[in-house]
Parts: sequence; C-alpha cells; structure tokens
Amino acid sequence: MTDRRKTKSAGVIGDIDTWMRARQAEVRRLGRDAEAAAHEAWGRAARTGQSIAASTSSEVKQLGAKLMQAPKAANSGQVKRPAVAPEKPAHDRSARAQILAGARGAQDAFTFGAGDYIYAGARALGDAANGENIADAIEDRIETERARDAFDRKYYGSARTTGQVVGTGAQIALLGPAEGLIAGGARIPQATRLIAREVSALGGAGATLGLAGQAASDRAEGRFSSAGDYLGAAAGGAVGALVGRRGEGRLAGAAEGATTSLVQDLANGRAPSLDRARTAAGDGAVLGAMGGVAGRVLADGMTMSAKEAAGETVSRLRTAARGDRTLAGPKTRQKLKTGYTVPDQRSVRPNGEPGDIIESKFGRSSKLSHRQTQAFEQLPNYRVDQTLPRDIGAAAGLMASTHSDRRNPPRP
Amino acid sequence: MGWMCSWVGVRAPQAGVLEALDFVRTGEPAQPGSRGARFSVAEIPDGWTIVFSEDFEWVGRIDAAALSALGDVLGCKFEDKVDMATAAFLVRGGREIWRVEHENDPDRLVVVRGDPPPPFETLRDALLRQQEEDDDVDYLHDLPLDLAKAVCGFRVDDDDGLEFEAVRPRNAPVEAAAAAKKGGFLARLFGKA
Repeated sequence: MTDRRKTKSAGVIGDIDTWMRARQAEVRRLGRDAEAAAHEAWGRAARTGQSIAASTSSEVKQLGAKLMQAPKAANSGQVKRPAVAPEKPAHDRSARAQILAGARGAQDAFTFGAGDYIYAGARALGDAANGENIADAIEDRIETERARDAFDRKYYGSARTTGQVVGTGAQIALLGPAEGLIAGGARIPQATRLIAREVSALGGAGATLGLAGQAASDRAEGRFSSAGDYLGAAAGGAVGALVGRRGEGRLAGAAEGATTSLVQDLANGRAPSLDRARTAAGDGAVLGAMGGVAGRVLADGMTMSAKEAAGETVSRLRTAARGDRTLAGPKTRQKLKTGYTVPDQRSVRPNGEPGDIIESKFGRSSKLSHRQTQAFEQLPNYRVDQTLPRDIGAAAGLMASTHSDRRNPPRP
Repeated sequence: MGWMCSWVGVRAPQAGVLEALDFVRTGEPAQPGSRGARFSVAEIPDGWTIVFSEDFEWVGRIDAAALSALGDVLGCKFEDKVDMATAAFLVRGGREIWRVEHENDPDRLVVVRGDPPPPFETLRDALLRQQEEDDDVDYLHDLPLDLAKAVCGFRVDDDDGLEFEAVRPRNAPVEAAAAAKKGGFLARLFGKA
C-alpha cells in the first residue's frame, strides 16, 4: 500500500482497497491486452512529456483496465492527450530505448525466458514488502514482463531480435567450455585430411541423419511432414555434419537447427523466420553439447580392443567414401628401408590399382611411433586415420539434435 | 604398423616351452602381426624361444613365474593404435626382476620397477633426447621394445628373417580352412570378404 493511500481516512482506504481489488481482478480477466494498452499509453505519455498517474505495476494495470473499458473517459481523465501529428511515433525511438529493448531480448534468449520470471519474482518481493499479496504480485509482474516483451516486439522488433541473436550466440559460446570438460583430443599433424569426396560423403551422411530424424519425429507425432520439411531436415543434417568436423557437438547442433528452420521456411513458401531459426539454433546447441559430452564419455570408456575396432571401422568408411575398396584378408608386411611395418588396412582403387596403406588410430593418446614415422616418410600413399573422442562426440551431438522433438514446423 | 600384440621369450628349447604353455605345432607358417594365426613360435639362435600372440593382454595372463622354471622369461606387450602402450619385464626363478612400461600419457611416459639391465639408461636417455627434439613422434614407445631386444635379440618389426610357425592351444579345435568367397557391400565394407 502506497503512502498516498495511507494518508486517507480508514473509510476511504477501505473503498480504495475494494476498488483496487476489483480493478486488478478486471485486469487479470482482461489479461495481456490491458497491459499492452497501459504500456502504450505510458509510452505515449513519456514521449509527450505528460504525467501519468501510474507509478506502480498495479496502478499501470488499473490504468490498462480503465483504458480498455472506457478509453475516451480514460483519455479525458488521467492522461491528457496532446494534439500530436498522426504520423509521429507512439513510442520512444531513442538509441537508449533500442539498446534496452535489445538487452531485454538478449536476456530472454540467453535464459530461455527464465530471466523474465526471475526479474518478475524479485520485483514481486518488493511489491509484497509494500503490502501487496505475494501471489498476486508475482502474477502481475509476470504479466507485466510479458506485456513488455509484446511491446518490444511491436515497437523495437529489430533491436529485440538483434538482442536475441546475441543472447543465443552467448548461449552457444558458453556451451563450449561445458562440452570441453571432457577432452576431445588434438589431431596429430600426420593425420590425413579429408578429401573433397569424403567431405561430400560426410554431408550426405548428415543429410540422411536429418531425414531419419524428421521421419522419426513424424512417426512419433503421427503426422506427415511436407516435402519442404524433409528438404529442410536434409539440408540441416548436411550442414550440421560439415560443421561437426570441428569436433564440437554444440556447433553441429546449432548449425543443424538454424539451417533446418530456415530451409523449411523457404521450401514451404514461408518468409524465413529469424526468430525460429535462432530458437532452433539454441535448442540444437544444447542438444548437441549434451550429445557431444555423451559421445566423448562413451569414446573414453571403450575397451582398447573396442577402440581398435572403432578406428579400423572409420578407416573402412573413409576408404569407401574415397571411392576405393578395402582389401580383405590378413594383414601383410610392408618393407621399409629399415625393418618393416604391418599396416592395418590396404585399399584398392576402382581400376584395381593399389590404393592407400592405412594406419588406423583411435584416441587422444595415439601418435606415430618411430617405425610408423619411417613409413610416413618413405611411403607416398601412407594414410594415417585418427579418430578422436571429439569426433564421436560431434556425431552423437548431431544425432541428438536431428532426433529431438523440436521438429514442429509451423502449419500455414 | 597396427600392432596390438604380445609375446613371451623363454631361454629354453622350443619343445619344452610349448609343452609348458600347452601348445601344439601346426606346421603352418605364420607372420606375426598379420592376424593370420592367433599364436606362433620361433627359435632364436641365442637359445631363446619366442611365442607370439595377436592378443595384447595374453602375456599378462600366462604364469610367467611357473614358466621361469625352464629359464629366464622375458615378456613384452605393445600397441601403437590407442595409448601407444608398451611394456617389457623379466622373470627369473619365479620372481619379477624388472619391468619397464610406457604410455603416451604425461604421468606414464616411463614407469620402471626393479633394476633393468644396463642398456636401459643409455636407451632411455637417447630416446628422451629424440622426444624433446620432436614431440610429434612417440620415440619413447620404443624403449621397452629396444630393451627386450637388447636382452634376447628379438624385436618383432626387425627384418631379421626369423620364420614363425603357427601354434595353437592343445584343446583348441583345428580351424577348417574356409573357401574364399565374395561378400556383399557391407561384408566388404567391414572387411569380412
């Protein structure tokens, strides 16, 4: 209860309390529209320099109710509407206002909207200290924040969206150290880089993963997505797989989410929604990071023989992606200037010519031995394939992102 | 090369070593590391019998103390695909005399127990110098292997012309030779054909 009201007689205070409770009940019924109307009037008054008798959240809500019930009466009562040119904006367009709207957008995005609830809760505690009912105060403050968000969306859309993008970017950046809690490993300098065919194959594998994720989502929800939805899912999976070469599930997931959203919009004839893409990127980053950590833990926990098998399987896949064939049969010695090496695999080109002499490695600790280094230096077709925990993590992260239940493209 | 193997050297004639380990000869040639035969045997002119296994953990499962009743037992295990782990140890008179281990882990680069033979310090210092000059290669990986060679004259990847013969555990079934056949795409992709 404010000081102004305390100075009145008990009878008047009682009437005011009754009136306030009735007004607040009305506003809760009227909901957000009242909040928006109140903020609109507030903004108008702020621009014109007029005073407005609504210094607390409750009084703003009361004003909103009055505006909605009797807008002419309200305008002639508490707010003196000056004669303004119709083309003049009804809100503060100053840089400060834009920045604040952007900051609120960033906070919303970074906290997945939880920041509004935290702020509302803190303000409600202050309201409760001033005599308001805590439950009502919390509800009022939350509705105020939602109305503020709606106001920002309407009048500071670009600033808010920019802030949200920044907030999502910060979210994704913060996930990096989290994913990195499990060391992903560094590639040895002798490891053979992917050739163009392998990169293409990787994108194709990602696209397949995206399609599978979309199909799984459709099956789970009992619906059929459009061809455009599947195209978007494939594009997202492909981009996610290519970004996943960095070995970070969060980046793979973020890229997959954003690409899927944007391409689905375009392929379905919708205007691409930056907000949906941003949200999808944030969700994808979180899922990707979780999958990334899980994949790294899985890789670390494998037995030595399982790691050996995993490394050799990756080598076979790389050979196939290169268009070659892995030679079957037992390993054979490869003579060197001094001693010999026994490569893990040998490949054959499509024309039957000898392909690569392949050494498969798995794990952070894997390096070339001295004899392997001799092979690396002496044999021009010596290929070193090194699979790291971060590779497994990125793959798991992309799988998590493509198979999440966030695939609910808006229906036209 | 892709090694994940182990071997034991016993300073005793081959027949007695195979008897103690309960192995029988097959008469088939074998190439250590090729995975063509799970176990193989060769004799070194210095009087050592080498029993080679394609199983990295095998040497840790044999009763080296009991085997040392025939003569000195030198065990060695090595892999260069995951942790770059190598180890060599000597058992004499039922007791482990020394053990040298390496992994590509800052805390386990060189782990020594007991009193390795004299070439150890020279080998270790030389490899440490090489390691400091070029950390992109795991030179210390060779330390147990070179030490084992200094003791018994055998290092598996030296081209010394040593001929191995496949052996099998006495109670293991004889594996029938399978006719070569072409598999489908997945079978060839995963090396099954």
